[in-house]
Amino acid sequence: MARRMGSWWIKDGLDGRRIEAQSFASTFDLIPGYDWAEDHGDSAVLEKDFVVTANYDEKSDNVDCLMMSSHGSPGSFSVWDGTVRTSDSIDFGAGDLEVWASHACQVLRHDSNNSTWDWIPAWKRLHYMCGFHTNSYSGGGRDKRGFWFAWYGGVGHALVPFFYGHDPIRTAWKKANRMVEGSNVDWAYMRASGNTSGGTYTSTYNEKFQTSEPSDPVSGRTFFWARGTC
Amino acid sequence: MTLKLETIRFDTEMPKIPETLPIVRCVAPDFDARARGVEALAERLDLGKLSDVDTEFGRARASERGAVEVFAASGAIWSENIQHDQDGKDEFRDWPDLEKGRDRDGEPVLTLGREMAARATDLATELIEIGQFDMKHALQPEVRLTQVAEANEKGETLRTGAAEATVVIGYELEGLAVIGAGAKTLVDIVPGRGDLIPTGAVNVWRTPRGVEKLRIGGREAALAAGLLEDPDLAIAVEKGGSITIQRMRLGLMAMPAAVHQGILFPALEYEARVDFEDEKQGHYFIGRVAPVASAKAYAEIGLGSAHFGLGMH
Repeated sequence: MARRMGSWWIKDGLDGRRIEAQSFASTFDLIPGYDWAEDHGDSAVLEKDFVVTANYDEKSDNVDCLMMSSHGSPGSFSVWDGTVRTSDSIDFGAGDLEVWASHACQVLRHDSNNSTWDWIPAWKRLHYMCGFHTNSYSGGGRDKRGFWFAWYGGVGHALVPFFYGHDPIRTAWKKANRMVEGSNVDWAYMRASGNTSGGTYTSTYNEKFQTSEPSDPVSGRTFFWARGTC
Repeated sequence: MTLKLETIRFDTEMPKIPETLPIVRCVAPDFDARARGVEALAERLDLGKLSDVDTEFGRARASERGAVEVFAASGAIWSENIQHDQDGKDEFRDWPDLEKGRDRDGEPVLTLGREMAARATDLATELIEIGQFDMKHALQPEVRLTQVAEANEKGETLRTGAAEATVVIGYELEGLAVIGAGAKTLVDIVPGRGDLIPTGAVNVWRTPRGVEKLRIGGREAALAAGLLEDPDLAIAVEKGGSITIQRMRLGLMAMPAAVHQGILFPALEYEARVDFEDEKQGHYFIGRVAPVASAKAYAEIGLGSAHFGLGMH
């Protein structure tokens, strides 16, 4: 079964934000083994698609990987009908979700006043959260961020095999943001490594977007956070 | 909706915006102009036997170890040895000389000690020279470390440390910072056995060719042409948000490496916090770039570009 990619976007007046999220999923859709399975814009970006809601299947967990455009602050991101916070009941990965990515500002800020570890209870079987420590920007060529994330994450390699690297998810995120942001912005990511349900240790350090389903870290996990220069 | 200036709070000093500002014509160096630097970088990055590759965005000299790519739209060089990136079992690198410092927000971060930072800067200078990067308008280099941390399931930090170091160099023209993704040199470095190893170098810089003047009309006109028409801010106000600008700078906008651009043009770059009384909405942050002149102002001096509006259309 093909890997399912998704896009969630709130434009807030800037169409580049739609392009930013959609170009991640649509670029993966160019190559075999990936489908653009979910696309939700503006008023269809709902809290209940990220927060556990009774008698409802969160649509974010219908995909393996998603890219999102909305606003953020440390430990939270905006949806059309409110805000998703670390204090909410979130089970990322209870279904399919392995990679959550967004340009939203400061969602993964980690400093003396904000702890990115507050996201840990939201990780059911999630592998990666890709975001920012600082603010990120919109405008000035940033609308290709999702394209570059997909390109370095495997699409470039699939289209130009042998010579175009297939970067790990963490590297693809770094390079995508270096491509579109100035060096006054810091990308960030969180990832989990740990034991699978079968008890085997699995590291996500070099995990790549791939057409097969990866092993999920579910117990005995440790969480890694990194922040670097765009 | 047009915003009123008095509805916006400023926690930062607004830059002075004169009656006229410079625009800078620029050109992208082609692959042939870059060729000697490309070969030298490939050798220094130990890429081994190289092949010619037509990429989606230009040309590259590439091997299984990495590539040096030249982006046709901008002449930018993007080079890396990918082997080092996947070394080890996690992000933590064994730097011998780490010290505590502060980032631009005043928060504690790890930095390289003085001697190691000097060695990193020297190594970056070597790559810049052999890559033949144009540094005539470059600012002073800054060494930054990728900060890393690990925690257990309870959210207790187990260790903190650093991954690669990056020597970061920005650019300035006509007394203005050149802002955006299209004006930077980055050299990535990891520690080796008693030595420093360069893992990649990025140089995005179009060659300046001449300066002209663009009539702005001063600060009020500049804000009216961009910030006060920013739909992102306007929607926040319509929803009941109050806006505080926390950072702002005036610069010349340089677009990303894969974008053709013949004119560096003035723009305002700002970061804002939006607060809502409604607790459900809380607060969020915005990073934006906005024009300081209308399309008409450019048209009056015979210039047009899809970039001038910075996505505000």
